[in-house]
Amino acid sequence: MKEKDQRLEQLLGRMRKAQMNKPYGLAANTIERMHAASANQRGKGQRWNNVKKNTGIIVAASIFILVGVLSAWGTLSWWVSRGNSDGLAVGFAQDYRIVQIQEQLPFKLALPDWLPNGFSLKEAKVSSTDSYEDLVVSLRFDGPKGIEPIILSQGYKSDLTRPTNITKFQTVVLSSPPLKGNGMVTSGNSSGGGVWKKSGFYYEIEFDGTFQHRALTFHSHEEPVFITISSGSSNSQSRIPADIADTDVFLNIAKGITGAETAELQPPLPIEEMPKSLGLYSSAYIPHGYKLTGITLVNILTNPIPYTGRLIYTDDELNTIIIQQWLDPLSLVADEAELVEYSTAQGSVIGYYKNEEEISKLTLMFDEIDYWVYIEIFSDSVRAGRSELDKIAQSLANQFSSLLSP
Amino acid sequence: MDEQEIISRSQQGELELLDSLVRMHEDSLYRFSYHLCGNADSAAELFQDTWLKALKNIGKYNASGTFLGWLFTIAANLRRDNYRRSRRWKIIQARQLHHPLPAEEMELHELQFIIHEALEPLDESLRIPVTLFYFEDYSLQAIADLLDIPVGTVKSRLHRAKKHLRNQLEVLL
Repeated sequence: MKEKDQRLEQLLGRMRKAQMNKPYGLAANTIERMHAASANQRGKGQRWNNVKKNTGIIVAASIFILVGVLSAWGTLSWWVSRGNSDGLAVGFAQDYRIVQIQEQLPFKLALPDWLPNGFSLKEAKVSSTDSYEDLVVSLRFDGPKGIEPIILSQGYKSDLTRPTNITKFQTVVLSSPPLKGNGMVTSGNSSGGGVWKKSGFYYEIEFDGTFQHRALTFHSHEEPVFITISSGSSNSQSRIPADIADTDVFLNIAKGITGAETAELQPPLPIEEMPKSLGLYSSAYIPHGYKLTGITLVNILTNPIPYTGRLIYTDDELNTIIIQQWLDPLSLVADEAELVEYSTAQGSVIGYYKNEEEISKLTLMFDEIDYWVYIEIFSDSVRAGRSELDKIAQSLANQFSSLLSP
Repeated sequence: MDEQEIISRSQQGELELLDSLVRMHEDSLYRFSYHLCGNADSAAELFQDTWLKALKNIGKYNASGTFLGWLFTIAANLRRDNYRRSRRWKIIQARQLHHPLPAEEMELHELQFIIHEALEPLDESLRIPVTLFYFEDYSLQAIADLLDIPVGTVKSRLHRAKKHLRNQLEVLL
């Protein structure tokens, strides 16, 4: 027992070595959010005190109406002026903060040549750990009072994993003008010169009928990075006291970065079709009740396809199935896992099945010329147990050699 | 102006005075949040949420125990609420897509994950002392002062927590 206690002490002691890279400006950002929150609280309190001081309900009501009209007018005039700023030249590429950050980066920063009226660069920061995946550059643009800042972030990873509270998830098409018919347009995430067209993703989050978060993410045409334009917070515990820029602002900033025409795809692409448009394997079979609720993409710089992906499916009880896929030059030999095999028109596909701590995992391996394609299917519920994972795996195996872009 | 005066005046409505406390406790609260969450993004979010909750409830702080101890308790409670929602994600996200960490670091990363999992079911009355004593090198007396409890209580809580961890981490011992 004493030995175990000592060993436990050693294990716990090793946690002291955990690296903690505190995000730059954490206290300053927190203080800013606290000020916004306290101003909101104080505003409510002051209005209530005003009402209490006034003797007549009519007078109080008039004040509220006046405040409401003035607020609405302020917001409206902001949006109107924003609409007028067509092609506003922002010109902050020479800003010393941008220049300093650019010197540290392995990719060229994407900068918009358009911002809504009243917005300017407030902060530029780089957060990174030892993994290149976690390198993120964030440019923060502050606007008029009462409007949430807009954040332009760029990095090798794109995470649309917001399983429970997304209220709108829409495909945005970015296409370089002029379009000369489908013959010259490449779909998905093509890169290179000439005319191009690609997909981006736009989503909104509401709490109690109020918009709290909007974001647009797309893969850069110039660099192996994802670009995200966002505003507000996706955290349900952090209610945003200010307004969020509307959808057009996000589309216009994206246009200002890429020079591409940007528009929401009409008719909307069903979410289930999105993985295919990204060049990812997705199963035609998904157990009843599960819906695709999140997509994570990571650039793998040495791979022939631009990124790897993770598709997240959840049901109403938040049971989860995850299908994640990547390429690797090395083959996998899984210990203590059951070897499985699926017959397809192209031949058989092998994989491994394992159930550990209530998580079922089935790994498929496809042999491409220089790489192995790996697809892992996770489930954390008996609702999607072994037989369901087999069906998903068979559906994925049937696509072997039929989907990967050259 | 000392901490108590800042808090007292904040409770009277001078909320902007809390700015200095945010900076004063930035490192301690962030490290504590990191130990609770296990990753930088969640720790930063928890740090901010803790302060927003503290701001909202500053009037309820009654100066029994230290202000930092009160912040730790808020953080631990917030973390617990979030954890219940996100457990499934945590398990699966531990398997990173191509995360080329050196072997030693990967081992530490996995160890962190396992220990966080073992700590999660603990009540915050046990978890806070464990976090501070083992991960942050606080002395027994410092924890007692922070939480306004006797040193003996700190010892007994650590003992109970260790008993739980010994069972949870049996395979590693």
